[in-house]
Amino acid sequence: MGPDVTWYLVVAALLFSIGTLGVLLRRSPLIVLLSLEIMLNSANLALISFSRLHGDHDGQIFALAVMAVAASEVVVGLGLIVAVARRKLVLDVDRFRVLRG
Amino acid sequence: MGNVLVWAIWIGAAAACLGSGIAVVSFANPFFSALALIGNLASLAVLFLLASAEFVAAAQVLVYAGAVMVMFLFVIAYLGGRADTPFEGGPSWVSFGAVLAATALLVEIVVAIGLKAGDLLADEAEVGAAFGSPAEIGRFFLTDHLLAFEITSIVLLIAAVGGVILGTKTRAEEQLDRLDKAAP
Amino acid sequence: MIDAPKVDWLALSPTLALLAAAGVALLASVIGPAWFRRGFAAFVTFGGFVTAGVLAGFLFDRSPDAQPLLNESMTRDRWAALAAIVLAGAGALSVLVSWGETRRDHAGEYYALLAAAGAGMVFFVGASNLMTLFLGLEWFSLALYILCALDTHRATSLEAGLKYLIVGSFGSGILLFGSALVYGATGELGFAEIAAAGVTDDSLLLAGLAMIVAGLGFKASAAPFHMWTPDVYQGAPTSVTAFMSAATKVAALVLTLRVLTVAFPEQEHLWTVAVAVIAIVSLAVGNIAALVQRDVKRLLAYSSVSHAGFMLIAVAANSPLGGRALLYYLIPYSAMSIGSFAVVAARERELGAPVTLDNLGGFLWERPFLGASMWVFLLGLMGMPLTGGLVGKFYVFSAAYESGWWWLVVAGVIGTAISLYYYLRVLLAMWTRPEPTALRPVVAGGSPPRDPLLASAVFASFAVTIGSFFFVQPLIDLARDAADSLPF
Repeated sequence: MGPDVTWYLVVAALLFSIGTLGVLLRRSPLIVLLSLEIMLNSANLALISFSRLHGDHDGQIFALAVMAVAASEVVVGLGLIVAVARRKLVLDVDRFRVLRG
Repeated sequence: MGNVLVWAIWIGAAAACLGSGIAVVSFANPFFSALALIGNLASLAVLFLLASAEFVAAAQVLVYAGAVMVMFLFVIAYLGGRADTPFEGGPSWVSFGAVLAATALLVEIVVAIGLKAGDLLADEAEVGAAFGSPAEIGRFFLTDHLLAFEITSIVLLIAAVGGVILGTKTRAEEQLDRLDKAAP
Repeated sequence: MIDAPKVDWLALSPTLALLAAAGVALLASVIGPAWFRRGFAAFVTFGGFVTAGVLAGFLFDRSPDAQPLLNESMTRDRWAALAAIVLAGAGALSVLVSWGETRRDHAGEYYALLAAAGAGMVFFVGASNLMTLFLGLEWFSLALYILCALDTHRATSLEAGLKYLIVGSFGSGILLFGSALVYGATGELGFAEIAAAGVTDDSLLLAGLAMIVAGLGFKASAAPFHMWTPDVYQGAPTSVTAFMSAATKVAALVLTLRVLTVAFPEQEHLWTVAVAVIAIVSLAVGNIAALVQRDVKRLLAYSSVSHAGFMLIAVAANSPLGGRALLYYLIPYSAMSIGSFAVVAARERELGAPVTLDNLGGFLWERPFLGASMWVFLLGLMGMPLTGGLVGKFYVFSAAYESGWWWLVVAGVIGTAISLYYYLRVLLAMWTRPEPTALRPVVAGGSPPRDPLLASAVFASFAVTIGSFFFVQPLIDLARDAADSLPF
């Protein structure tokens, strides 16, 4: 027997907060997107370890669906980033100040 | 002996996973962050394998580390490597709040796990060798989770349409570019 | 050999009608001749929304009892059907509002995405396991992210899209991790099965519940998860804002009440308090921040945050009366919200500039019909008599009072009192003519021609706003039948 589910969950929780920190702290939208991927992946890890714990497949199916959704988010996100770069706007999440006030 | 080997692989994968996660968040250059994310995804795939999710692990490597990350690297290369300086200007109220929020989330989850660790989490269900195999996953996708399967395809289609729409230069943009060029 | 699962096509028909419309519109806007694309796509999308509304009405009639479908992937019940009718109405009105938007590229794709977002929402309100909940949410959210950023030549539109994508995905990440924890605690994904698992005071389940509530709060733009709302509402094309402000709120709130009552009846004492606190924070933040806004779209965005608070009061009541109040209130609210953004869109097209309190001067006299309708919408958002807003607020308050939330009633009344100030500012700005000596900028080529489709959308919203006051009883009866399909 390897490590039990608790250990998997601790890794998932740590990874989730690393991703959260990345989203909240970083300003480059590319790195924010990468951090979002980390958040979704940590949820996948939790889903898969719970799926193993309960011995039922739902968690793994969910994880596969999440993978597809994450890929879709990346496509739209990268499309947006390319469009922003094409307009020669500054790529900085915090510097988006036109919409303030 | 087998146990020790599993533990060793697990600890290695978990450490790689957390280390590369931290690297993604803290590297200045998005290019290195993306490379670190590939490591993160690969080590996660190892963890998935150890939790008897063979098909998900394979999909993780093929789809994610393969296709998605190539797209990422391509876009980063297209934009040119502009590094942004992470965490410049010392801690601000925003970053303080962010750290606080992330820590609160972490504490909440870890406490929740800790409270459970004694009873439920320890007793794992017995699973057969077929658990997590492509055949089983496929069967569930076509029966119980048919709707989820179909919706996933719709979500991917919408994203593809979005990628095309946002990726093409519109005539309105070209007009703006011409105006920019005309103005000295 | 595996047995093919039995699919209830009627239950899926509103979603499928909209998906079909999206597909046809998309194909036409790719392969059709240029002159044909926009008109055809708009027509098909409008038809799709109308068909979806009719089918949802049929579904409402034919499903007196709630019925889980496809291993609890979704539920066929009146709660989802009535919400689908409201969503279809909101979508159809948005198509009319969008028509006057002169977009040279992607005009056809715009309508295809609008139909796809509508299909996602219509599906989402019927979702009844955590997986379809997440997937439905991402379905319509992705379409909305793209719609927000569709005007790629405007920096504000791109920013709105990127901001919405980042904050929205962050919210769905939290929702997803919460779903994983709930799955871990119960071993089930279906809402009813989660409740049936009989796990009560489990730490994982509670942590998961909290994260699910927060994740849905992002979508309903309830404070403190609202920070994207003003920027996105302001930056997105105004017709998209009109659709989002009404439809996203309907979808998110209707599903919030469903997931909380069906999956977490045992934790009622906890989530009602959490929702009540979110409601109060939304009322406070929305109303106070709206006081200082000069941009009308931003002002209406904060007003929508405060209305999310109002409707969460009905969720916190956790009673059949609360469900009735929520669904009833969503009907006039959607109409008032779409109507007011439609008027803003008309003014924006006329001026070629963002609408602020300053350039709204004399609008009531310049465009009597649009101006008077805007007055009615704002009076309705205030909760004045002769509009459905009054009845909605009354029902929400009585639901809260009945469930013993008297302090929520007090907070709601205070919020309404504060809101009078900023709504009156807009009313006054429209009433006051600008100084006749002041030079007014005129768009080259004169003001755009009158837009009969937008006017008819405004008129329909006007009719619903007023009509929901005079025909309270039939609407309340519908809402009662719908709310009866949830287990309170």
